[in-house]
Amino acid sequence: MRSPTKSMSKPQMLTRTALLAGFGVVMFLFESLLPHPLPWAKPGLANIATLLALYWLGAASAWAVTLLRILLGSFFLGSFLNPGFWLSLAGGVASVAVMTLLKKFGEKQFSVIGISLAGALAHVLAQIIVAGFLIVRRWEIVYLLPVMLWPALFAGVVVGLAALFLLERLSRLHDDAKSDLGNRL
Amino acid sequence: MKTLVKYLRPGDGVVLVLFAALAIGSFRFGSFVGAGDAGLAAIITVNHREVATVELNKASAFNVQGALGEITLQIEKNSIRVRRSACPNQVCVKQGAARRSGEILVCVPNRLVILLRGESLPSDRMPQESRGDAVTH
Repeated sequence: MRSPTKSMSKPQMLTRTALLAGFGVVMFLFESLLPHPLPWAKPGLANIATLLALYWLGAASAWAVTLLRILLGSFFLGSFLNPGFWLSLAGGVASVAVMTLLKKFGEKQFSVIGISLAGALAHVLAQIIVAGFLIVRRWEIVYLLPVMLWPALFAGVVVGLAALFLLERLSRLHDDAKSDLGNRL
Repeated sequence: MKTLVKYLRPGDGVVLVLFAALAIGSFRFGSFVGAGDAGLAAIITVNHREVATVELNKASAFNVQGALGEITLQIEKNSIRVRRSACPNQVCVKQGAARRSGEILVCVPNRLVILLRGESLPSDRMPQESRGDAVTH
């Protein structure tokens, strides 16, 4: 399997990672302005940036894009080191970990949509676990699972579709280094 | 649509089925759909400390001190809800009323957790006795 980074120079990698990190922060901030009809649910649009990075630039970029988004996003919203920040960090780390592992070991078995769904699931479970230890400290936290899992299921599919659409466009548009992005989708 | 199917892989179905099974199964824990008994009492905790325990059959409104500021709780029709809270996202307010045992209301920034209990309260744990200093009626 070819590394996605091979056909890219280091400055290209860096600028593209920075671009996607910026995109992730913007999606994150945009999302925080949207109304939240379901109090526990956010669509997780910033994960589109992580998925783009994972497929286009590789696992290291996906980590950078996610961690930068969580950090910068919390600076913008003023939630750095708040309980909400830790929840966001836990969800982000768990979802990137699951997504990079699935991508690495199951690239042929999963499409972007499957990986996005697995990331959404990991995000919810990590948040429930951290919230259980950090905030609620009662087993009753499991009562929040359905209200968090159902929206995440739909969000995971939508985010995966959006990422697939963008990656497909990107693979056709982006032929500078004979990128094999299209073959890896 | 045709192009989409081209990209799908068997693993996607596995993840989807697993996710959906967990989401459906989680309703069995959840009194969210009304699986629990009617809640009789609510245990109110701030920062993991129990500040009050209230019965839900007496309508009232009162404030508790959260980590960020005052939280106004309202009890009516055997349910409890957060009426007002000094927190940025108002998730707790939007959560609405909790009325079933096992349901929880949470305000993350204010460090507030409200747990509903089905069993009736022993008489020695009425609201005023349990650290009433944190509760202002």
